Formats: sequence, structure tokens, C-alpha cells
Amino acid sequence: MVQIGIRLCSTDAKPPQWTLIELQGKLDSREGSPLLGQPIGDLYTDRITGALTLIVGHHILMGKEVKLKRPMILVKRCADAEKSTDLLDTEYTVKAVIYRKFIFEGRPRPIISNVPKKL
Amino acid sequence: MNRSVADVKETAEAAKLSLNNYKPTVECIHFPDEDNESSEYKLIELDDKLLSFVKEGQTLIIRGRKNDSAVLCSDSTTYDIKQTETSNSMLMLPLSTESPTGDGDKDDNPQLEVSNCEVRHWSYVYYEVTPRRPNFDRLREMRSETPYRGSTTEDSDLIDGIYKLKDYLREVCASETEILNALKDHKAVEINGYWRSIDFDYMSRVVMHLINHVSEIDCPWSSIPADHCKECLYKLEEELIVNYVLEIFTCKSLINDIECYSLIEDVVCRWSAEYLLSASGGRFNKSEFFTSWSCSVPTGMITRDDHLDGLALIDNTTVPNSIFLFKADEMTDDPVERFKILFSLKSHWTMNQLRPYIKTLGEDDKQLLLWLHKVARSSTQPDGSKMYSSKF
Repeated sequence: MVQIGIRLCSTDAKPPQWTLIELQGKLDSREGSPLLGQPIGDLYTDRITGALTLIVGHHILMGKEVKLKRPMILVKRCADAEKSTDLLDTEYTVKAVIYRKFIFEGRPRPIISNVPKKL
Repeated sequence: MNRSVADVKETAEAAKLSLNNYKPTVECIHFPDEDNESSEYKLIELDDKLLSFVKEGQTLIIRGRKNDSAVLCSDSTTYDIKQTETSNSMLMLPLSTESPTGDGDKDDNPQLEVSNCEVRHWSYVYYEVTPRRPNFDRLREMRSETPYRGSTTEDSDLIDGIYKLKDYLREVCASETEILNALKDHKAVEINGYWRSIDFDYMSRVVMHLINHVSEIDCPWSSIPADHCKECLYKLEEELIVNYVLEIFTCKSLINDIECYSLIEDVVCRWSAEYLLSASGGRFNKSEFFTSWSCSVPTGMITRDDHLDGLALIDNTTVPNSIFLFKADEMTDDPVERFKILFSLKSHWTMNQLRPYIKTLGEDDKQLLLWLHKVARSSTQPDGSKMYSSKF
């Protein structure tokens, strides 16, 4: 039987809290170039309402913070050398706990730039 | 790939955002520069209990045998775990921990700040967990592979076909607490560290010694002087099996300051039915069985129909009507398979008849009815009673 362990990193007393950003559809770069190293977008928070605005390329996305109904953990597989016990085949350690997500569900609004001024 | 304040302002202007409406910190999110082994990450949705368990420093264990779907176990609970795909992209990253819905900043014209944040992992799949009752079919196989029949019947250094707790942990997809509870519920016994079933005939021999003892000393079966009873029984059989039988078949009380055992009527009646039905291993004439059965139990004990729940089935289609041993405890934990077997034995069942054979599949009738809805159809009989038959 396969046995896989999930635990905290031994050095961490408390895993950090991260945020999940959920976007509709898939992120693709324009020319199909690899995603690594690429910027995604600029995230703004409304000073009064807390509403979120994300500028991705030539689009504006509107979103909001939602508390997750159930917490999520992001885990990463341990290298064999870092395993705490031989009884388990593989171990994963918790890299972060996620309690909230920023969800952008609305239709993206295109940014039209370089509109010539009316004469 | 870091953006500067100027970069951000330029984009904001093109998008016609009034920077005054927003908090001064803008988070510029980007993919990592180098491959950070994204394939080694997994996103798992837990519940509060599981999260607390991990945060305490404990280890959750995902277990799976070749033909099983995987389960996730804490020390005392088991969950199904399955991969779920969404049509959305999920990005995971550390952001500023301040909640967006904070009060407006007091400073009316704070300087724009840029915080460059790297996405550590992105995915459209994650794992969901759902609590479940474990499947103990493998546990059942293991504990009954070599039932105990007394130390004189086996080698003292026997190690094949018997299993310690760590062996069960390696082969049964359930948490440690649930495995131990199941072994105890199944009346298995730990002998020299090995958890095993007791052979029924061997146990029955000792039960009969106990019942005979009661008639020999001519005392009521509800107040058997304990010490004397143990003394007599230890002369006949091993302490281990005597203690096992006393544990299951009696309860202790203090009568006139003397510790006494009382036989438990329900347990004795059920045992006696099983003993009679398993003796020939086949079907019995129903009325002959009921007569023999009521005579077989100690005087004063009354056998009842409900003693047979989950133990024996009556077949009213044979002439004469018959009854045969059919134990709920020995059935598979796979619900679909279990229903298949039940409906193949008898095509129509009332809920009362079914309940003893399916009660481990749900917490209450409501959950059992959900199962029935999946696998059975119901029909109302001329007498108004509802019966269930297989859908398939």
C-alpha cells in the first residue's frame, strides 16, 4: 500500500498565510511565449469599499475578496533526503495555508488606449 | 520582472483609474523568473479539524492500495480524497495580509507604493476531501485468516497468518483509531501483540462450560458468584478464552457485597441461535428451529425474533419455511456489492428486514434511504407495507 504523509515543515512552527487569486479561464501570454518571468497584472484595492481591480494586459477585471468556506493548504513534495521517516513512501510539507481568495468573475473590460482626441 | 512606480502609473493612466480611489499600495503580480518545481506542489482543500490536526504538528496520511481509491487519514478519521478540475485559473501567492476591506487611509494623499509579488504556484486542479466510513474488508480477511483455537492447537512461535497492529496499519485504508475500534467491535482479541478472531466453536465450548456451571451450582443466571466461577472455568480452559467469554457474555455487579456475574440474555440468545444454525451449516426447518432454540437457552431467558436481526434470514418461499445463518458482520463494506448480495438472496425486503444488514452504511434511516434510492425501487404491497427490490 502506498502511504503519503502531509505535515508541517519541521522548522516551521506556523505556516504562512497566502492568498488565492481566481481568474476565469486560462492565462496565456500573447505570443505564446513561456509564462515564466512574465508579469501578470497590477492589483488595486478600493480605499472605501475594498473592491478589487486587476489590470491584466489590456483588460480590467473587477473582483472581491471571499473567505473560503473550507481552508486550503498548498503542499510541496519533500526531497528524499528531507523525509522524516522511512515508513512513508513520500512526504509533502505545508508551504502555506489559504483562508481567502480574490475572485474575479466579471467580464473583463478592455482598455482602449491611444484614442485620438476629438479635434 | 519588477515594476516601478512609473510603470504602474503609466498603466493606471491608460486604464483611466483615479489613483485616489485606491489604497496606496499596488500589488504587481508576476510569474516566477525560474521554474520553481511547480509540479511538486499540490493544493488540497481541508476542513477545520484536519487543518488543526496538521497545525498541531501531526501528519495526515494518504493511503491507497492498488485497486482502491485513495483515502486521507488523521489519527482517528478517514476521508475520500479526489482531484477536482475547475475552469478557472488559481494563482497562489503571499500578498500583504491586510484585508482589503479596511478603513480608508487617513492620509489623503499618500505616495503610491509598488509591491512586487511572485506567484508561487498556479493550477486549475485541487483536491477535495469528504468524510467517509472506512472499508474494513481487508481487516476482516486478516483477523480471520488464522482464528485462535487455543494455545495447544498451534506452535508457540507461529507468525504466519496472524497480524499485529502495524500490519493492519499497512494494509487497511483507515486511521489507527478506527482500525482499533473495528477490531474491538468485531470482537477480535490481542494475543501476544497479534489481533485475531476467536474460532466460534472454541468460544462456544467455553460458553457451554459457563452455562453448565450455572446449572451445576444451581444459582440464578443473573447472580453467579464471580470468583468461584472463574476458579472453576480456569481449571477447564485457558484464562485468555475464559476472560474473553466472561467479558462478552456477562456483566458484573455487587450483590450482598459479593461480586457476581449476570449472563446477558440478548448475547446468550443470539449466540445460541448462531450455534444451532451453524451446527449443520445449511437450512433449518423454521418451526423446528424456533422450538429448539427456545429450549436451548437457560431457564428464564426468552428468545425473541429481534435476536435474529443481522444473524439469520427466514425464507418463506420454501415448503416448509426455512431459516439459515446469514451474518451482517461478515458482509462486505462495499455498499454496491452488499446490496447486490442482499437482493440476490431475497428479491423483496421491508425496511425493517433490511436495516440490520445495511445499518453500517449510514448514520441514520435518512442516509440509508439515500442508498436505497440509488440501488432499489420501492413498491407498496396490498397490505400497505413498502417493499424494496433491486433497480438493476
